[in-house]
Amino acid sequence: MATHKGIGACGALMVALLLFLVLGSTAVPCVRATPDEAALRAAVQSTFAQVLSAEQDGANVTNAAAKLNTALGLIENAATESGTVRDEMLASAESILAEVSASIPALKSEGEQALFWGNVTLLSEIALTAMGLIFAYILVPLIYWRLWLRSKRDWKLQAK
Amino acid sequence: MEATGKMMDDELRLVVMGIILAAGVLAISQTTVGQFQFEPFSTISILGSNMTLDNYPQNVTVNQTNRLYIYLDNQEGHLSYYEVRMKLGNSSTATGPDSPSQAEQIGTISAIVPSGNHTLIPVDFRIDATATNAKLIFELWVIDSNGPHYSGKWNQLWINAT
Repeated sequence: MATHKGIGACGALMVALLLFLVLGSTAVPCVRATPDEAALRAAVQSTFAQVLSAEQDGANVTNAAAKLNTALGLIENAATESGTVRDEMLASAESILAEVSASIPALKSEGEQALFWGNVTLLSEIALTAMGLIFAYILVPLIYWRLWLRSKRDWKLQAK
Repeated sequence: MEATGKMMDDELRLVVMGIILAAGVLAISQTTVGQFQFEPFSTISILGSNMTLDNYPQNVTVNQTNRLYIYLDNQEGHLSYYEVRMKLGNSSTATGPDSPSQAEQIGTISAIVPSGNHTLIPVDFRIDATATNAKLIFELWVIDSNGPHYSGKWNQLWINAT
């Protein structure tokens, strides 16, 4: 009987331990590692290089530059803070950098299109100017004299 | 009579072609303006607490926070990543365009400035010991894919701290 009691207590203890382990493992909070300042500054530098490359491809990078500045500001201000505030600022900077980085392909695509249409506009302007000059050379005297004759068509010549 | 008519034709052509050419050049220049940067440069300036070229702190109190503004202008023709290194030296501290100053660095400010734009950055500084003829030096560094390098541009303020 005593043995049975011992086995029962031992089983209950085992179940309790098992439950503790299962529940304990699920209750462990999932903590996201906060990026450190140096890593974020390196990330700013690499993101800046990507934005610069997009600009060279014709992209308008004003918004991306503003976001990078915001991230830089957060990193610099985080240096004077501590604890959760600092972690939040750095996490926010990291999130902004990821956002800018993700927008690079779209920026490049827009830039390429803008560059293409810019070239089309420039070539059209040159072609139109050249055509205008040729037409002016050929047609201006014709048009002028035709208008001159039309304006004078009711005139009568009087010989004295 | 025929010669007069021919001359008039030529004059007409010249006038109309001149107008078309001027309009064409104007349109093309509007399209291409800003695409070429003939003389790229960056500028660093120090502005006083009123954001103007005066009211600079010359005599400051030890451990008192003073405000200045740094004006950065980017005319490089591309986006630029700047770092302003704030250093505190004395009257014998060498400054120049060839190499950065060896004075103690007391702060850093970073900014990314789009091409053709400028930015104004507030800077708070504090001197923690008495000093006579101290030099507050602001060096402009440029960060690119090779890391930061000294641009050769700097600015300085003479300060007494009591």
